[in-house]
Amino acid sequence: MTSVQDTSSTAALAAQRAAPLLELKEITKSFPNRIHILGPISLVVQEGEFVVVIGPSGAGKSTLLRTITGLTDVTSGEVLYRGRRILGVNPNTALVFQSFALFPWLNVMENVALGLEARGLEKPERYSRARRYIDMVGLDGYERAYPRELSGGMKQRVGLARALTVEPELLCMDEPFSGLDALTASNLREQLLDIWLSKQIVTNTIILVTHSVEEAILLGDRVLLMAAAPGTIVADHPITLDRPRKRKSPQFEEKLDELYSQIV
Amino acid sequence: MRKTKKPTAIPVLPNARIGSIVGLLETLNEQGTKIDIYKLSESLRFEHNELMPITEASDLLGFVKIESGDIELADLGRKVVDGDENAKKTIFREQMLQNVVLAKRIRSELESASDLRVGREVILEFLGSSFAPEESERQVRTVVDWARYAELFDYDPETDQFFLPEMAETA
Repeated sequence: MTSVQDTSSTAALAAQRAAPLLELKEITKSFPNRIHILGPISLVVQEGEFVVVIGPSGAGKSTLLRTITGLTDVTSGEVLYRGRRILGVNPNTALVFQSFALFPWLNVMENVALGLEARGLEKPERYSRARRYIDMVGLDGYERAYPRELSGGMKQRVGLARALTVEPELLCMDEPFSGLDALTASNLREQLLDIWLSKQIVTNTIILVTHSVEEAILLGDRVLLMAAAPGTIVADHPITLDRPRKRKSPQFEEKLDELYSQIV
Repeated sequence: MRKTKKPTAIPVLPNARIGSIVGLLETLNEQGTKIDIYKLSESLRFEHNELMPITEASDLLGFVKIESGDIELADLGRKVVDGDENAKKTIFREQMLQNVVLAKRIRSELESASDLRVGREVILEFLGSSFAPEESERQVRTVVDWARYAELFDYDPETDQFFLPEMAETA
């Protein structure tokens, strides 16, 4: 966490405490061929929020997550984390991919512990920490299994455990359930909500990208709608329904209608 | 450890993954009442034959009640939905030992094996009396998936052996 803090002056610390977890200021992203794909986007995410980003393909949803985590840089504007400008990969974040991104030659335990190697932890500590998150996502028993032996749902649990193991404050998820069938996806959504609501983890803020309106309302405290070419945020809906949310409740369907009407 | 036993038909293990089974139970729980299986597969955008193994597996494990084309959550299924991950695993373990012949067989082979390991071929031979080779492979894949989740036994793809994880860890 120290990489985004650099002074001990009380004024700076106070400013940091008052600052939101994440702030995007007028960010834009263009590719080297000058095609402008994203922005300008301004956005404030407070600690503890579950933010869902929804929009058509090509709206730059994935690019937005990559700029937030620092995997890609912005062309203009600023990404602020707790009030500090982030250059390079933000170590307080982790990203879960739709494609799972597991290494086929490593077993579950090794895949999960991998991210900790880069953080300079010794092997016993890596494995004990990895085991904790493997248990949390319901993967104990699978430690020695290889990705090829796992169903899509189990592979994504590995992806989730690997992201949580680095204990990020902010977890970014790029369509994590869209490669899965409806039952497996629903099971994993429940699991994610259970973990997040139990407050047993360092990670308390989540930004999740999806193309499913229903998923957005099931999960989010807030749903951001994006439009394409270039990708911008066109609406910001608070979702205040009680949890656990019931798809069949009138309030749920009302919200569903409201969002659908804005997308079409 | 190979026994020459009179071959009896082994009940087929429906080829369903754990995540799908728990997902089905959660969906039925949200549903609240019984639902026509055909309608359910439509609402989930599943082909009927894709949903079948999942409903059959849930039935075999005692988690649902299926009657004249309708399915609903049984009390045990509700316990799975409401339980935390450890409670879920315990219920799966108990139900597998009670209702899944293949799981019982592998577990007892493991408990009586001198090194607590059993080769894949021993189990394939056991299955060979009831199934074609490719179905036997599918049965093994499914039982390994369930057993890992239930922490009943594990499988080492490097050596092609089943083993008891708690024993291996203390060894």
